[in-house]
Amino acid sequence: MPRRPPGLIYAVDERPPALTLCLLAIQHIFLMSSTLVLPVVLVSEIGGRFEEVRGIVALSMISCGVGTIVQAMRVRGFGSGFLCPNLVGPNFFGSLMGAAWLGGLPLMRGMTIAAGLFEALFARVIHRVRFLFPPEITGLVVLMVGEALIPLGASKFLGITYPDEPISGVSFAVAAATLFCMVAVNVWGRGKLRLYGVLIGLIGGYVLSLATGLFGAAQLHRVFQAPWVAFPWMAGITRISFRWSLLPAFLIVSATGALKTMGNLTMCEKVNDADWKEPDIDRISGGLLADSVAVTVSGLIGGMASDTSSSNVALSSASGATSRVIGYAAGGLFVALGFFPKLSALLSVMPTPVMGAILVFVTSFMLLSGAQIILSSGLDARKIFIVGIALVFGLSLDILPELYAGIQGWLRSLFDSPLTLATVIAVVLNQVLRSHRATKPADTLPVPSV
Amino acid sequence: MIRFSMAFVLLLCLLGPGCSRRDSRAESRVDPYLYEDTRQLVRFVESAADLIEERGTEAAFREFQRPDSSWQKSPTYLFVYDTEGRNVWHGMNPELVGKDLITLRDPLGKPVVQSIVDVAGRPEENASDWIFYLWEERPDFHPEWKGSYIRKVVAPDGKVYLVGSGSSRIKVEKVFAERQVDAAANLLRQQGTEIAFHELIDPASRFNYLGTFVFVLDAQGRALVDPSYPTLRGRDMSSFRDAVGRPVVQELLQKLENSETAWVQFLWPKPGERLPSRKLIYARRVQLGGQTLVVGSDFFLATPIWMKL
Repeated sequence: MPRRPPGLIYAVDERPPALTLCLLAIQHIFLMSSTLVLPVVLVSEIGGRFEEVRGIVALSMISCGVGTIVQAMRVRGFGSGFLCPNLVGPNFFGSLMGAAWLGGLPLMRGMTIAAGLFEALFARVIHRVRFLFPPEITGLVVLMVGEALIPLGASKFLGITYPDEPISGVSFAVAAATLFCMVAVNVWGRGKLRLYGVLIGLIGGYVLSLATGLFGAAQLHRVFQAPWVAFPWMAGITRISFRWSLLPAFLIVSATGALKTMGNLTMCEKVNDADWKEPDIDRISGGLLADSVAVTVSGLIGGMASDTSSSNVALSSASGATSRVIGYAAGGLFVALGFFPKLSALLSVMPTPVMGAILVFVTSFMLLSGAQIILSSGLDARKIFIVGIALVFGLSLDILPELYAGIQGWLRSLFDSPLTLATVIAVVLNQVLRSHRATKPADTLPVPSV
Repeated sequence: MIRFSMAFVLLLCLLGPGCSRRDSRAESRVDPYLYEDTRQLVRFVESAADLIEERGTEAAFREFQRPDSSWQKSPTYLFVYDTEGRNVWHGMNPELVGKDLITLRDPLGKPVVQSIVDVAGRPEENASDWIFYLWEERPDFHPEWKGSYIRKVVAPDGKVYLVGSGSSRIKVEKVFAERQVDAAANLLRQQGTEIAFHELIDPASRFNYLGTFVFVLDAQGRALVDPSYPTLRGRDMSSFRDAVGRPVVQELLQKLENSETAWVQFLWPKPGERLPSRKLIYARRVQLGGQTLVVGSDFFLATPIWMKL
């Protein structure tokens, strides 16, 4: 039986009052909307029409909503039972873009379905490979999931979209004030005020963006233009195609998505159990199966592949509200919003500095939770080198991507994501160094509770 | 909570003076541009133009010169010319003020100041345009491509000036390609293929810009004007495939069968790089005496800093 951590306000099995539940769900859907720009970019890049952009955004919202709901379920080994919402998966973006370039949206759908089915397979065999993922490696996965959020968070926070652009002082100031607001509520907020840190920061950020002209007529025009109600549909939605040549890249991306989900679910377990020691593989398997359903549904209905959201998991940890009922509410609302383009447009015009502040806020939680899991595994010399070497090469991919530019063929996909590279190195090193006699544990560092 | 409230109010006080609502007229001028550095340059020139329009050159130049003014703190500098090509204000090199620079050319032979002055010939009172040329801000072995935004301005005394500012960090915007291709199409229609092809291939023409150029293909995808390979005229480009095997020219020709203009995106490594980057072609179909021509220009599209392909 898990022991309730002292900072938790609504634990996973508890049900918040209706109004609180509604506000918490809204807080989550704002965060789930943070990557809705990706389907817009994807369809625009391949020369898609406005109706296709609107259609794919709505269908992606529906698949993310469904993913959030099935993840919160726990029925006969299906679902993790945790609040672990889905969003449009940034790690799928590059491969989906490649597929869309080659064969349009039908190929994107076909390859998404293949990725979903592969994750389902991974979910079924994870019991047999649980020895590959001791706590220090799952901690590393959580840490690298947080690391993957840094480029998006930092660039949005500084208001920079393209290389060489100047930092906008006003945008930076709004982002800093919004972040300060969220941090302050979390650090100094008493009682249930802490539940709404992100929502309070969001409201402050929107007010400041309005006052400084960062959010104005142009953004509101997009909201006014959208119809109130529309059935999510687009021409050719039933066409699905497949290419064997793209399969290796999609399998790697699917494995990366599965690792990320493992990291997210590990963090969910840790947040809900003060005595957490190691991942519950049965629960993670159920979660992966639910995630695979979400990805497959994305491909079948014509949305962009969804993925579990690290930032939402970090938000639930920060706010102290991890009730799965919030997952049902947020998922249901997200599905409903797919039918109301005006409301979904309102979410998708979130000012850039506000989005940046939220991402920096949640990334801090994710990074430190990963570090905490690693450190709490009782580091010895073997573990230090497993995690350390994996980190060096994983991070080098982000810092110096040109180092690996010469790697071609199927191996290339391994070097598309620091998360994949670091995990593969750690898993291999863990097996290589396994036969050696364990060294004496190093002094355990005092770790602050995250 | 008291500490928090006080700190937030303090932050708002610090933020307040630095924030101002952006002028909606200037904002409508920056709408077509994708990149913030382009937008910032346009805003900079538009504000300078507004100041000259409202207060005249004398008061405006005094403001431009004030040491702690925003004009002095900007990473780019302003220049102002009269309609004869005489420099009347230069934010970087005051020695140029008063000089007739109409004959000034860049290393390729592009008539830089003449191109600036040409903007004054437009009928609109607030006409604007971009000019692209090779330039060196300081002694260097290789000049860099520079893009300058030029704005026509009528001072209160009725005199017409050209105010502008440039940057060597300007990226190719989609509107730049559209303007160049549309201008080349007009040139073809008005002057015919012989004169137009000659101009398109000339390195000193306006169609050579920011490291790219305007090309012309026939309806089968054979190159008629290809400034990067002037000796390979007539080569078949229809079989060209990008880094992931996409038949780019075939796709372009297919799109142009049903439309006057088309955009095609593809992947290609930048010079000296191995990993492919996003590249975009804009093309326009031109009917000329029974012949179908495809006028186009391609350029590397900047990728959002957080996005990995």
